[in-house]
Amino acid sequence: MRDRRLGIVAVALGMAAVLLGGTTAGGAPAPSGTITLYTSESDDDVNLLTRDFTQRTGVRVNVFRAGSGPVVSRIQAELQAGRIQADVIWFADIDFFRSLAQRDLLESYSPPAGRRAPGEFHYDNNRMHEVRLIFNVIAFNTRAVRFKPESWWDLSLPRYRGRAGMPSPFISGAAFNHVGTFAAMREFGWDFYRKLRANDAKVLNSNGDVARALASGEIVIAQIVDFFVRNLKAQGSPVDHIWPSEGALLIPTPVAIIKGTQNLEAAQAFVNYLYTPEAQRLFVQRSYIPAVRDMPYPAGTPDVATLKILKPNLAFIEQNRATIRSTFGEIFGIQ
Amino acid sequence: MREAALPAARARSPRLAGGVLVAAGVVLVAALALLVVYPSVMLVVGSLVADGRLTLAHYWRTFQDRAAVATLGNSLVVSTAATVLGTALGTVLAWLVTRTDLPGRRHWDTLLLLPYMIPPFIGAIAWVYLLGPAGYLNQLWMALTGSPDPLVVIYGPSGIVFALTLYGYPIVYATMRGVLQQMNPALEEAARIAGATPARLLRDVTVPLMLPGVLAGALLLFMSSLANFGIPAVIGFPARYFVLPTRIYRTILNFDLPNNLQIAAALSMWLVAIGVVLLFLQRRVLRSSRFVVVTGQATAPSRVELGRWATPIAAALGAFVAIGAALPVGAMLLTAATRAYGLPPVLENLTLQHFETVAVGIPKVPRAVANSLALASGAATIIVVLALGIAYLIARLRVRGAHLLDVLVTIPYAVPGTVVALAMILAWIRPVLGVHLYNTIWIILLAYVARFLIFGVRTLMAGLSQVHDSLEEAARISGASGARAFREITLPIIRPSIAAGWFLVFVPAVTELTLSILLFSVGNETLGVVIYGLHEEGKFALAAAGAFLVTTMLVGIHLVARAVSLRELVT
Amino acid sequence: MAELVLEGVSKAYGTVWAVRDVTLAVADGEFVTLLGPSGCGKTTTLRMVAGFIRPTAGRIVLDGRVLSAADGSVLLPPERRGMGMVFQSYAVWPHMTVFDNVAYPLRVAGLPRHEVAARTRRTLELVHLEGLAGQHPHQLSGGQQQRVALARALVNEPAVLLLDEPLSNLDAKLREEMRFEIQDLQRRLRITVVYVTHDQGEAMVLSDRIAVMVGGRIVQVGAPDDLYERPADPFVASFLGVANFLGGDVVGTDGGAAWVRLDGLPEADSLRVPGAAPAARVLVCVRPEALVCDPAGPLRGQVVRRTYLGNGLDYLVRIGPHTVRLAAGPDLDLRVGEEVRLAVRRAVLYPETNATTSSGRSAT
Repeated sequence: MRDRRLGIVAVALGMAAVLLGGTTAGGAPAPSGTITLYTSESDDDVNLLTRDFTQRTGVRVNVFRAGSGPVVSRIQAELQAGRIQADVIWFADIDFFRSLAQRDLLESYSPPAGRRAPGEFHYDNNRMHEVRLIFNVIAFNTRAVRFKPESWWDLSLPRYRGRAGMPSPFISGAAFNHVGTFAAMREFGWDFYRKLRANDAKVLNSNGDVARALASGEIVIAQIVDFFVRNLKAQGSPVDHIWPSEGALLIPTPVAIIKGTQNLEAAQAFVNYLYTPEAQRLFVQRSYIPAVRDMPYPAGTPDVATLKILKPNLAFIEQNRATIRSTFGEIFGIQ
Repeated sequence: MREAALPAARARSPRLAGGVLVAAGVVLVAALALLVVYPSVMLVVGSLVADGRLTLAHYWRTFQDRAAVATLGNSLVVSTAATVLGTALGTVLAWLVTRTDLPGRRHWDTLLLLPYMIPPFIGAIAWVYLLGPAGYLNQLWMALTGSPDPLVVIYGPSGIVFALTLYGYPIVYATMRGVLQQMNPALEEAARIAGATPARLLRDVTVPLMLPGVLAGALLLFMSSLANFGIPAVIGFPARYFVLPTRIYRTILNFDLPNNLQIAAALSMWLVAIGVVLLFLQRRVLRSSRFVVVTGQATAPSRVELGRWATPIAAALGAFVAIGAALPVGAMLLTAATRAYGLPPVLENLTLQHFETVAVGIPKVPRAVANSLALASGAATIIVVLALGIAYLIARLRVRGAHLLDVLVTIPYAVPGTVVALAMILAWIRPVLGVHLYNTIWIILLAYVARFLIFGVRTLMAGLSQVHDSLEEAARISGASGARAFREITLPIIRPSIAAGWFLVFVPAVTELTLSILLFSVGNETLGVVIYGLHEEGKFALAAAGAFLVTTMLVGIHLVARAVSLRELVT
Repeated sequence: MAELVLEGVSKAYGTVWAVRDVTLAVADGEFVTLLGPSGCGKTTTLRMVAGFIRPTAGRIVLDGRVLSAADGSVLLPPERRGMGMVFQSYAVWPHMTVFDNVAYPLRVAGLPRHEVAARTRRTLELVHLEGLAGQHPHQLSGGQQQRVALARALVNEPAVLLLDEPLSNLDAKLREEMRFEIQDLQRRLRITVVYVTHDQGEAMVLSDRIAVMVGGRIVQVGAPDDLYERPADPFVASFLGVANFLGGDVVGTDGGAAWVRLDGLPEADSLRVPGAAPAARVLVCVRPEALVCDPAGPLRGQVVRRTYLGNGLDYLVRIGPHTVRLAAGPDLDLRVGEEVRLAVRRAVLYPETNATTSSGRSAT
């Protein structure tokens, strides 16, 4: 009898200790254990980063890497079943992230190392963060195109009739943001897309599909995410890209922590890690423009400060999702 | 492999097996079937639920959604066309290989099964590599003729039908091969001696007797085509031609639509409904025709001598194989061997480095090979055992429920793989009875079993029904127990069915994608996931190299299995 | 004239000869049976006549028309040979009615519909299946299915009718019935028949002539009584009915007969067998019904077994080291253990070879 009561007290004390220990801020215990990451980042990038992270902290990262489509599907299913099983999520569909945030499913966190990045890269009350920058740019096939394009409107030039392409906003969240943003801009508007359609522009599948079509010459000019082109070019494919004169569209690729994660310290450590000079240097190594201010850019990239960047019009997009979808569908004959 | 539905009334002895066998069988089948049936039930229930309440709203909505109806129409059109073509093709080819004296039959058999061994998504991409606007064949055409326009662009409904037929006919081929091998040759000989020319023989006797098998194969092909996602995604999208599976996928991605997953489930149930209706029709048609029961006869079917037709037919076959198998494999090879995608495949741009990289340079790959082979063999084995148990219960012990069972195993096959995967997640995300299945390799295994069970059940039911009770009874009179009689008499006789069913599951399971991509976890990647992942990231040459190596591996396995005297797989 | 001639017909599978040098002439309207144990090549021969197997050597000629030639230059396919065939498994098409099954050869030949109907009905009457024309095979009994097969084979009035063990799947009584019906039909229609069976009783009842085949060869051809009374060798003798074999030495000749002293018996009990002695050591082949009780007979024996058959009795009698079977009518009533004396009415002598040894070798 006495032992039992002692036992209960011991357990209670132990639990209290754990709880107290867990909630202390500065003197938090070192992160440990394992976290699960759902991401659409490229395999090579993820491997590089997670290996480095594990080396530095000892925290192991289980990665589920797939296209953003499967990742979104999986998260939805898990949510439906009760709980998202990831600790950290990281992929280019900010609308989805925001819908999660609206349902209070994301953890708010201000990574110390994140202070080195501009405040605008910490979205939605620190519930999601931009750790490196990718953009929608104009890419072209170097074997087929003689004069480098310069403007977004070049996509509807007569000489590119039927040979211009873009990813489908119904498949790619980034493409959806692009359409929504441009539709809301006075200098583009829906007219921009009507002209594209009149010029028989092709709406393909995902960015990967656009890359394939571009490299093979099926299309010769495209709207596509910059790193796809960079990677293909590095391999030797006949592609290249330019920074459009009106500006390249920033593609938010947020990182967020799921609320209720079992290993909050480790998750936070990971997000923080991504802002550290070590991680940011890895990004630069992989030719990405880093999010932090004080990091030199990869060789050959234009200076973000001097070039025009277009930010996605998230507010407009959020209000008008259905209209954007239907209007685009109407213009391009996609139901 | 035999694919005939159950024959009409035949005298059957009641309790053939001993009590222990029955009990064990029932338990086994019930337990495993539950694991597989449970997600199907989840799916059906899911489609009827909105915000926690039971409702038919999703179904009403899908009826009213014009776009959904249009895509369903498209689905039916391409699937029907592909089924008609694929069935005709598969049947004729099976006839040529099993019932004529075509020289080199065994080699043709492997070649004709080749399309089945190409990973499905890459198989679709291969045709874009060939006949996309900038495809190899089109570029060749334009170079040779100086024409500015490509010869033919694969995008669009005809391209979808083409690809579905090409990758689908092996299902019918494999089915019919078994049926034709088992047909009592005397039936055809009787017609010949009665004066029927080969053409007449075909029309009056051979074809009607093949009908059960043809219908069975055609139904499988039709459902497979209806649920196919990869081919329409790759070949239909660029031409703005959409089918139901791609629409279902879009619905799943449309996260701001309330109850989008449930709506996706409801859309999927359309496919199930079509499958069930066809199943029902098939039963009706087959019930009113008479079946031939083969009672272990000895003579091999006599072969039609092709005579002077042999050469033209061989040439036609060669052309067919060249188009159907050699071209896509060639496209994969060429893409894999080009230094960087988009460079012209001329000598200076060719390299073997991608093959090397895929084979040894990516740690995930060998792991995925091991995973896929293990999963595929595991699934095939479990399915065969399960199906054997089910078939035995129904065919021998006359346990009722054949119809219900048919429907249940049809559901995971008739719906797109994505939907099955979601159902599996919903079903198994929480541990059941303390068992954690999610994020382990086991959930992938279960998904495969659920998905492909239909192959096993169909094959083994047909095979078992063709073994007369008397054969087992003879053993039992000789003193063998029910289990022993089954094991030593029936099993050896239906070995062809077992082997065929095993392979029919093994091959697509190795290259499976849509299930695995949602269910895999760290260390549990499958070949489909890895290869597709490479492609999706823009590493086209590596993906093509991987696909090529996988196809080669499967062909190798097929040849080895055949050499190890699994002669039932070939004539 | 539907004379079927086989000349030196052979079939080899690799190095194995399934059929070797079969030469046989079947006269118009004759019923010839190929009889032999399983594996003897009789079915292969039949199928070569039908056209399903290409002969390795030899010629098959029907009515002066070459069906298959030795050099392989001619090989008429089955559908052009104008024959009818009944298969062991009947091969009645399950997806057609009885009527359609039987009418099929006529339809294939392109006959006008009314004639097809008329002839089909006539043929159905011939085999007593009039009322079942609209049924499907699975609704019929085995015997009825067999008649359908028969009707279908006959409806075209073929030159030759081939039957491949058609009765083996029937029960004994039905078999006997069908035997007589087939015979009746054949006599009435005067159709040339080649019949294959392993059942010597069938062969004896039905055939004008029997060709006994062993190991791919024909060992003897002849009318049933010929084969029965004068079998060419011990194998034929024992295949066609029961035969007793007694070994012995020829001890003398007696103007057209040989005296044989049986092994283990005194010379006083020697048998006198008409005919030349083929060798010094012989096998005496005696049919059970050729043994009779005769107080003056040379063979002294003791009844060892008695089997009552209803219409007669079968006795096993030990004579010295030999045992013989004795067939007798119901009037001869012997007890087991009884001493008897037997005489031999008819016997045939064979030279004794290594393959056939003497005492105790009676065919049961």
